Amino acid sequence: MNVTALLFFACAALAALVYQRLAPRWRIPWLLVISAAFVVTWSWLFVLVLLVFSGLNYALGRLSDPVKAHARAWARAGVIVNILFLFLFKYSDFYLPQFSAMLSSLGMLAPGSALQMLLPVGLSFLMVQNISYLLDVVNRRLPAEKNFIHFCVYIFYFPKLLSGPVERARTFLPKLASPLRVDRPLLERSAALISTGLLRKLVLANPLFNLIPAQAFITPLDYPGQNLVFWLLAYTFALYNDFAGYTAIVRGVSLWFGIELSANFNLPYYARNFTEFWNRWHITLSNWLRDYIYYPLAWSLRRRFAQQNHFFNIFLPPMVTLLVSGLWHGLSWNMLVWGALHGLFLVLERLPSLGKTVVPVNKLPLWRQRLGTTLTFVLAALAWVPFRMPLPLALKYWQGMLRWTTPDFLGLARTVAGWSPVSGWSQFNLPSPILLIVLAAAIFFDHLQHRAGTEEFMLSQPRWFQVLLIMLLLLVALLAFFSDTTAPFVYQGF
Amino acid sequence: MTHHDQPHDPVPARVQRPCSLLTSLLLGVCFFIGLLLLCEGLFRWTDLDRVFNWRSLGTYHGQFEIKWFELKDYARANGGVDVLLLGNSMVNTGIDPDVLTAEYETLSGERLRVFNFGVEGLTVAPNSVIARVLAARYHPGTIIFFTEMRDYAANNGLEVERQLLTDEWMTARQGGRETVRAWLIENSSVLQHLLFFRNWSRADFLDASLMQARRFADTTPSGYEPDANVGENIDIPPDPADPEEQEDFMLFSDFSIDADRLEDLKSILELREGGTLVIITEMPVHPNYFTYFGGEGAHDEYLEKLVPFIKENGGVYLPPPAWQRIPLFSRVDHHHLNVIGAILHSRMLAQNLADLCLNQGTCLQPAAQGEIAP
Repeated sequence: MNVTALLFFACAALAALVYQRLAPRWRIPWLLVISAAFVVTWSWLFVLVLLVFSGLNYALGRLSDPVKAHARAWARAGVIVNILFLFLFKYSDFYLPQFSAMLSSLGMLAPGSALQMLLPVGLSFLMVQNISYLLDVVNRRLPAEKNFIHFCVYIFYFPKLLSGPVERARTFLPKLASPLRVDRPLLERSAALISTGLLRKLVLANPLFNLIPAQAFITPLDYPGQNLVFWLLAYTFALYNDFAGYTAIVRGVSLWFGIELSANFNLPYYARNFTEFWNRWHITLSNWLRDYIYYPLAWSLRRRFAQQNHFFNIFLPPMVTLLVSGLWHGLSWNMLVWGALHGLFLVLERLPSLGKTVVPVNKLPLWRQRLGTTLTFVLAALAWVPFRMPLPLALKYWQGMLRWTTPDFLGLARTVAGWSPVSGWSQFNLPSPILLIVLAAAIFFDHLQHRAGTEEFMLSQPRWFQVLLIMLLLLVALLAFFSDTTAPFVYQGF
Repeated sequence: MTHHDQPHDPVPARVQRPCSLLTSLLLGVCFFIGLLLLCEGLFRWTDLDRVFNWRSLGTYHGQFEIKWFELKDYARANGGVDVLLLGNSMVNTGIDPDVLTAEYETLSGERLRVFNFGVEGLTVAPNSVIARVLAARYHPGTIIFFTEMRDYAANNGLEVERQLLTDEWMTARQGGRETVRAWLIENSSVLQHLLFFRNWSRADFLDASLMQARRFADTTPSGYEPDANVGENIDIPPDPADPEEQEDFMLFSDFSIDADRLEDLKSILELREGGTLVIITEMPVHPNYFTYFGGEGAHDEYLEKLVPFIKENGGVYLPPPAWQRIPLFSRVDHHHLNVIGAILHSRMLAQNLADLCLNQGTCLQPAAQGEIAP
């Protein structure tokens, strides 16, 4: 079930109403039931896989309790099991064809389709949550969860199941045990998050994705460079609004159950450098990578190379962390290059610290902060190219962006004046004005959030503007209902 | 002195209480529904409908939709329609009903309301469905169906047929399941206007919608879409070795009349049971057009089978005007006529129809009295 579907909201609202009416001891089991029902809308087999996955991690968590013998070994085994689980299901594309071919050549039944059928949604998100749980237990940051139902809800909880946010058990389980009181202010916050999320997804992300011709990412050299630049900008904002919109929606829905999920985005394109970018983009995953990859690696290197400014201390932690991030997104060369590029940007940012004391970014003159924001945005946007397409095409896309052709302003003027018949727009070699309007709207939307200083900025807008945005959302939703296009959430693919 | 008396007190900043978003949500929904209802009323009961005449039914076929709405407006403006011309793009650009009507009136003394419903890409299969739908809705006295050899090639036009006929709205119009969506599209004028913009976020929207808007503007109120192009090398037969021609040669070189397509023609002919006169004719194509099918001989063979079939099923076959009477500069290609060709052809067609009436007693029938378009 798609989280922008009317049915999703209706079912979630009904489930929340029942949840509020239930006695407290039945509420968490009820969350498990509705989460399982949500999973069943994809496939009932997913529920089985998730139950096995939960049972395994629950047991491994109990065994990783530091008071028990071999706890650290069990925790390590748990981490490996989770990674293997991810490889078994998610990266099956890489080994199944060969494996199936081998089995077929031996006259045996190939398991490919069965595995693909069982592929649980949001597996990458579940894996990192489980690893953090096991490591937190073994490092005494969290006692092993004794209640299996509570643990299952941590895994299954439907608002965060598909694409996060990546919740830590040590923050999520206490929220589960003592949820917030669902009152008018909380419902207002929920409405703000949901409407913001829907606006980001339906009004900004979907149109921006769809306004880019599909062929642009297949044969980029067939298009004028200026259009490729604008389409990359469109993709840059589409991706952000898609994921930020999704997160806002599920955070809003989760508030109906009194459970506050973590924020995942904080205006990433306002970042003044890449360190800040990664504190603003996919925050829950970035924090996870920081806590479970970056810091352990940095501490380990510091023990080996005592000098703080040692090249390895500067270079390795960000590079390895971002390479892992790339691999988490997909086992492919282009994702690896995307991660490497971000790793490189972080390393370059740290290089000045080798020679002198670095001034914190907020102490820099305003013009340097603005310059930093611009540079970070441009480089992050360029890095989305390998994120979107295979490497050879990415190289062509970058190359194509430099090949500008003169737009046919004369032809446009003649058509506007009525001297030439109207026969389309693409003949003018200009980006679509609709795309420019949606891009401007996306920038304006972020500006509103920046000015309000909160993701729930809808709450502080004047009445007329709130009503106008709601009406715009309804109009776009109505058109989307009848349109011939669809745009699924990008991060549901991870 | 109270604090009110102090002359230089700063004006206290107005405390801005945040508005309730839940209330705004409710207001937004109410205003939106209200706005839709207001627009619906304006489109229904004022001439706004004609000012903003870009409309859509949400189907795949833009030109079909243009014809659908133009016919609706035509019937509304003229109190109905007497003669419907059905066929493909050759009919769309090849007959000007206004010229046909005027010439026929001069020759026969009868003024009829004629509408050109030629839609590009439609073979006899979708046309048979459209003919039934239009006959049930507008009760025309006469349907003239312009057929051609391509109509009977089994593999021709399948995709267009599938896309158009399986559309939810079209299914309901054929007597299939009436869904909420199909009902809304059929009955809501404001939705029909909004549907024109339904693909606003598609990369090809501007190209497609600008073209569609232009075609809306170019199509005359009687459904004729003039084409100003003048074709070249029409007197040279198409070359099977030409890569651009190969698809047509592959489709039609082994031409034979498909039995299912004949059944579709039969269902058009059966409309006479409801009192509609059905005339089947052809467009005056250049003979080089028949090269795709194996030459003029193939066309003669085709007619030898088709004409008796039409007569057996109670229809009237009207031979097309001689192709030689339409000069090359009046053609866009081997089979389409341009604006000059359309005028010439419309006159000749009117003469043939008048001749049919005066000499053979088969006259174009007006719509039955009292049968007014919805």
